[in-house]
Formats: sequence, structure tokens, C-alpha cells
Amino acid sequence: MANFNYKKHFPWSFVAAIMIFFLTQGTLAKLPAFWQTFYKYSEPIMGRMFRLEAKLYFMPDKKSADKRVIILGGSTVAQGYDTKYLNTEFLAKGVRFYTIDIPFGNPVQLFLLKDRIVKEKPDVVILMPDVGGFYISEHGLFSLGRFFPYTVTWDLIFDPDIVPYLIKHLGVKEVFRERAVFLDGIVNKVVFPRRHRFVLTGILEKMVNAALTGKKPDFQEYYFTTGCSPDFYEKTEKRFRSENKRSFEQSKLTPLCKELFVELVLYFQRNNIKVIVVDSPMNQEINSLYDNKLNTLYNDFLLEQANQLDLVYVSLDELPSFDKDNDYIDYDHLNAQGREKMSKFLQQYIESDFENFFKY
Amino acid sequence: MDFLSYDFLFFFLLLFIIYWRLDRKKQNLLLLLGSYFFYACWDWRFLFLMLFVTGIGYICAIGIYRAEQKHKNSILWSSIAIHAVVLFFFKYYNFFIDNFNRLISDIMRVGDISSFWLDIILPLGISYYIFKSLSYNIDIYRKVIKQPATSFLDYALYISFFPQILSGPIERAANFLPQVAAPREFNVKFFSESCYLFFWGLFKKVFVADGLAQIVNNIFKEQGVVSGFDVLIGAYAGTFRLYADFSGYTDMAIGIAGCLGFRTMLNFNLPFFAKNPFDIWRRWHISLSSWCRDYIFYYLNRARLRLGLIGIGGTSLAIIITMITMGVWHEASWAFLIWGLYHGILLTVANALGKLSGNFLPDRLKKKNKWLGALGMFITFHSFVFGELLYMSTSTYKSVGQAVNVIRNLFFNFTLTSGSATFLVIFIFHTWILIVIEFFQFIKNDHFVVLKWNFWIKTVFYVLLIWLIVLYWGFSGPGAFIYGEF
Repeated sequence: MANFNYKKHFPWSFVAAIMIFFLTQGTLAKLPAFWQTFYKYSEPIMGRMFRLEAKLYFMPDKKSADKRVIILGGSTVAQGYDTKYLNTEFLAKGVRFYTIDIPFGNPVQLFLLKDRIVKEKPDVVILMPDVGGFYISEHGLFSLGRFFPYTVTWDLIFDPDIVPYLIKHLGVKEVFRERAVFLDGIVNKVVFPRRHRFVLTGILEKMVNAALTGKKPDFQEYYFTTGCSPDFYEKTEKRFRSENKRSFEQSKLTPLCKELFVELVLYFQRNNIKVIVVDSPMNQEINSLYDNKLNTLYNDFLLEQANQLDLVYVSLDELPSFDKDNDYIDYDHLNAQGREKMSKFLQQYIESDFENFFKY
Repeated sequence: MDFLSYDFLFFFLLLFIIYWRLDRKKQNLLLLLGSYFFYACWDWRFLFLMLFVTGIGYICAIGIYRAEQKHKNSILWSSIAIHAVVLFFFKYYNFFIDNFNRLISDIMRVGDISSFWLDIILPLGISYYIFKSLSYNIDIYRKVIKQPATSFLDYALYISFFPQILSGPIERAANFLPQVAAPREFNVKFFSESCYLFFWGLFKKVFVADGLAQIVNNIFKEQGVVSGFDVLIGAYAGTFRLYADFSGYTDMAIGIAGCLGFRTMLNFNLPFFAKNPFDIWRRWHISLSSWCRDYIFYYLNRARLRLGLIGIGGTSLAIIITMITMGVWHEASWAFLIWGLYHGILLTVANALGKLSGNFLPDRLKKKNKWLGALGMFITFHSFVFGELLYMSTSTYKSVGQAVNVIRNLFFNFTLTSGSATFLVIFIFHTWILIVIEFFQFIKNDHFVVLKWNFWIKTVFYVLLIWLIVLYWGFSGPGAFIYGEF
């Protein structure tokens, strides 16, 4: 190692470029104008992780007198609650509502979000996990993401706390095999534009398009604005049967999901957050897809946890009755009318015992 | 293990740190073990095949060197035969069975040999290391290399050197072995240049090649009618994609080798600035084209002279056979055979025109003329693009009619579709940086022209590239390297 003429030949400009890159990306991630502009151009499904981060970014610092409720779950949460309505109704009482939704809404995904939620200091977390999320195949956990690249979130919200649970349930071998996902997660934590690369490039393209055509795309708040076609259920059932889907045969809740659900509730409770679990409204048509009736095992499990842990459980029976033809967009996503029903229900539920609602 | 994976990053960092603390012999041993580990990560079983080829090449070289003149020939031909059998079996056997079966069963209807079809895995990098081993033996025979490698380990490192094993360049032993035998010095300038090459290669792969892939995949797909304009954009995009993908890989490979103190051969030298079809093969995949020139064309040329085939016809035949060999070297397929034939014909025509112009053109036109040069570049570039279009259409579409139709649309259905403007914008967006930089490299005749820029211009340029790499890095890493399949 003879030639040490670092001063002259060392790639200083490259080092400077890396520093400038980190500086610019860090600055961008802290700029309200960036989040506001890009949020407006983002799409509810493709850009859901970006929106999730934007929502957390825009959550104001909590004043001590205020009460904060975070409704946490999958796409059914985003589609099922009208926070504008709830915030207006509870404005005088100083209660603010936020919906935070994550793809699949299963306990694994929700667990990865736990620290981000706690950081926002909610008084109450209303958990509404997707029922189907409790039936995921453990060994399909990672490959699941591979099939749906735009909804995968592993590498976007990676939390190392999950590793011991994964090793316990999946084994060291599988976790090691999927090491790139974890490493991606670590890199993405540090490199913000990499985390949202697809959304950012898509939005930039839209911006260029808007600048060229002079037409700004309409802002879309909810995932689904139109209902499904009249023969949607029939077609889906046919497809399900012909494809012989794995989930069709699911007969037990995934142990990893069960354990992470309990851990998540305990974690919130340790941080003095009251947890209320609300069942996801479910269209009866879903029973034609799953012979084992998805809700039976799920409800039993939640009821058991409600007794064991100090949590409130609002079961399907307590929810208002949703009409399968007029309140749903598909099997489990509500339309505007259903959303109104659900939001009103929550409002009345809180009003009925407002004093105790926030007590924990 | 891919260059653009975390595994490789950890592997290389560890190797790099240990490597520069060792003496030459231990460095070589570490590199050899590292190379075998790198290869075994793909499939350890095929290490034995590589060891077999290494052993054959090594022993035959010593045999050729030591044998009396009359035996040298037979040892060399034995070596060529063994290498050819190995390559044929793994790469061409099923292609041969398929086509022969089609001939005797579908056309002649005299039998069926489909049961001879074997489920063969194509060993990674086999075309590269077989060619390396062959060239070594022929160079010993031709005395280009004065004496064979004294150490088997050195020779094994030449064959298995991990930066080059997956997609070349097909390094020559005459360049590599002396470097293995000599002590290496860590040179900061060379190290910086190597890092820059890796970075530039990474940009070409992630931003240019993978960015253009979306156009190519959208235009050249089994279903749908493609308009002439889209075919043109698709052909440009496909050519730039192939170039960015392969030269990007090569730059990374040369950069990695450079970080370990090795100066490996250049594989691409601004091919789109070539002035004639011969020039392009002095600039595109140089290690393969020079290999084919030195070991196939020269041999065929001598053979045809011995056979008395003097004149342009003999040369043309030698050129066409060489180019077809070069085509099927890539892959056992009709698409590459047609691609090779096309380039062979193109070179033959260029050769004939060169001879004619030499005889008939006035002296003032023979002198260097920048406009003629530019016209030459334009024609050469487009004839090359057409070759790529031939390959893309013949390899994409199952029916010949569909492939012909696509090419016909280019000339007779030159219309715009709703997606045409988008394709064009994406094409320009993903290529303009590459084109600008290569233009600077060309006019300054310097591959490292960027390194000579002012500190802040260079820094801004790097920041731009870093942002684009980060934003355009694929979901599960960059796409696979195209030449990794050959």
C-alpha cells in the first residue's frame, strides 16, 4: 500500500455529494411544503404508505387538555370512518380523531407501527384489524409482499423489535433467507426518498404532466369511490373456487399474528393508552368464499383477549346493521353511506359514556 | 450473489479489507477462495465443472508448451475439442435436439428424438470461462504467451476471477497472468477511478437500463399491434437498454477488479460513435469481438487462403461464419443466429464498399471529412439499432409473421399512438445524461473526463446521479443483468 496521495486523488467530490444528498433528503423530509404538495398528488392505494407517513407528520403536537383518538387498522379503517365528521362533532370537547391505515392491516404490520403511534401520544387507540389478516400463512408472509409489490410495507416501516418473534415462529433459517428485506428496512429508515421511491417518481411524473397539460389531478381521499359491479360477488366466488385459493382452506388463526396482537395491546397499555378493539364490518357474502366462517375463530379469540387483557371489545353484534347491497363496496369496505353509519355509531358510542371513554 | 446485493456488499467489503493487508501470494489465494465462494453461492455443484475446465486448460497449455512441434497441434485440437464438447453439451445440446427433432419428426416425418431432450441447467458464466481457457491454450500455441503459468493457483484465479465470471469481460491471460504474478500496489488515483467506474456503471444499470426496460417491455410484447413510431422508439430504447445494462455491468466489474489492483481490458469504447460497421465491433463487447477476430476469423481467413479462396467472396464467408458464431455464443437460438448473420452481411457489405470506394472515390473524398464522419456514425448507429430490432422482434414473437409485421410497420405504418409521446419522453428522460456524458468522453477522448471537471460541477453531477439511483432503484433490487444469462 504505497501510494497514499489522498489529498490529491481521493474522491472528495463524491464524499461531498453523499453528504449533500443526505442533507437534501433530510431537509426535504422536514419541509411542510413538500408533504403538502406531494400529499395532494398522492393516490390512496399506491401512495398509502406515503400518506401514512404524511398523516403522522402533520399530526400536531398534543396539548395537555386535548384528547386524541387514533383509529388503527387496514384499508377498512380508511374506508370506514369519516374523521371530518367526528372531529366536527367533538370539536367543543377537544377530541381529535385520526385514521391510520396500513396495507393488509394484520397484526404483523400493525406491530411494526407501534412506536410511531405511541410517539403521537394518543389517549385511545381504536384497533380495527382486518379479519383476514389473522389467517395469513406464516410461510407466505414474505412472499405475500412479493406478489403485491406496491402494497408491501415490510421495508418501509421495519422495526427490529419484530425479529425475535419472527425467529420464534418462522425459524432462523427463513429469517436469514429473507435478510435482504430486513436490510432494506434498515436502509430505508435512513434514506427517506428510497422509502417512497415509487410514489415520489409517480408524483413527479404527474406534476410534469399537470404542468404540461395545465390540468391538476383531482384529490382522492378514499380508496374506493364507486361500488362494485352487480355480478362482482358471483364472479369472485367463481374465481376463488376455480383458483382453489389457499386462504379458502384457512382453518386456524396464525399463531404469530395472535402473539403480536397481544404484544401490541400490551405495549399500548404500558404506554397508558386505552385500547378498544372494534370488529370490522363484514358483508355476509364473504361466507360464500370461506367455508369455515372467518369471523367465528376471530371473535372467539378477541373475546378471550378482552377477558384476559384490560381491553374493550366491540363485536359485530354491537355494530349497526349494514346492508349488504347498499352499504358496501365489496366484502369488507364500506361506501359513503356505510361510512356515515359507522362514524355515527362511533360518535354515539363515545357520547353514551364520554366520561369513561378516555379513562384507563 | 449479485453485484447489487447486500450479500455482495458484505462479501466485498470483508474481502477488500483483508486483501490489502496480505502479501501477493496470500492475496491470490484469498481471491481464488473468494471467487469460488462467489460462484458457489449460485450453485456449488458447478464448481467442479469449472475446476475440470481449469485443469484441462492448465494441463493442455503445459503440454502444448513442452511438446515437440508435431504434437503441439494434436494437443491443441484435443483441448479445443474438450472445451467445445463441454460448451456444446451445456449450452447447445437441447437446441440441437429440438431443431433436429423438428426436422425429422415434423418436416420429414421419419422419427422422433424428443426423448433425448435433457433437463440441463446452464452453468453461470460457462461461455466466458470456456473462452478464457481456450484463448489461453491458443495463445500458448501461437507463442503470444511465452510460457504457461507456473502456478496452478494463479491460472485458476484467471479462470474464476469473480468480478469477471458472470458476464466478462473475457480477459486475456496475456494481460491478466502477469498482474497475478506481480505484487500489487494500492494506488489512490487508480482506486478513485475504479470507484467512479463502479458508480457510473451502477447509474447506467439502475437509471438507464432498468428505466428503459418499461418502454421495451411495453412495446415488444406478444399481444397488441405496434405502430411504426413506437417500433422506432422501442428499437432505440432496446439498444440503449442493452448497452447501458451490459456496459454498466462491465464498468462495475472493471471497477471492482480495479479496487483489487487489477487493470482489466476495456469492453466498451463509446460504440455509438463508431464510424463504420467494423469500427463498432472495435468498440462494442470488445473482449468477445476481439476474441472472435483473433481465434475464429484469423483462422478462417488463413484456411480460405490455403484453400485458394482468394478474393472478396472468401473474406465474406469468413466474416459471416465469425459473426454467426458470435451470435450463437450469446444463446442457442434462431434469434441470435439471425442477429449474427445480419451483422455478418453488414460487415461484408461494408468491406465491399470500402474496397470499391478505395478504388473509385476521388482523393478529396477519401480525406477525413467531419460531415462524412458524422454521416458514417448515423448510418452505423442505425444499422446497429436495426440489428437489435431484428433480435428483439425475432425473440419476442412466436410467429415469424408477427416479427416481420413489426419490422414492416416501421417502414409502412409510421403512425403515432396515444402512448407514443409518453414513450418518447421516458426515452429522452432516461438517456439524456448518458448521451451528454458520452459525447464529452468522445470529444475529449477520455473515459474519465468527469473526474477532470471542477470540484463543484463534479459534486453537483454526483448528487444528481445519487438522487436518480435512489429514486429508480427497483422494488426488489435492479433487474437481472441481460448478459448474465449468456
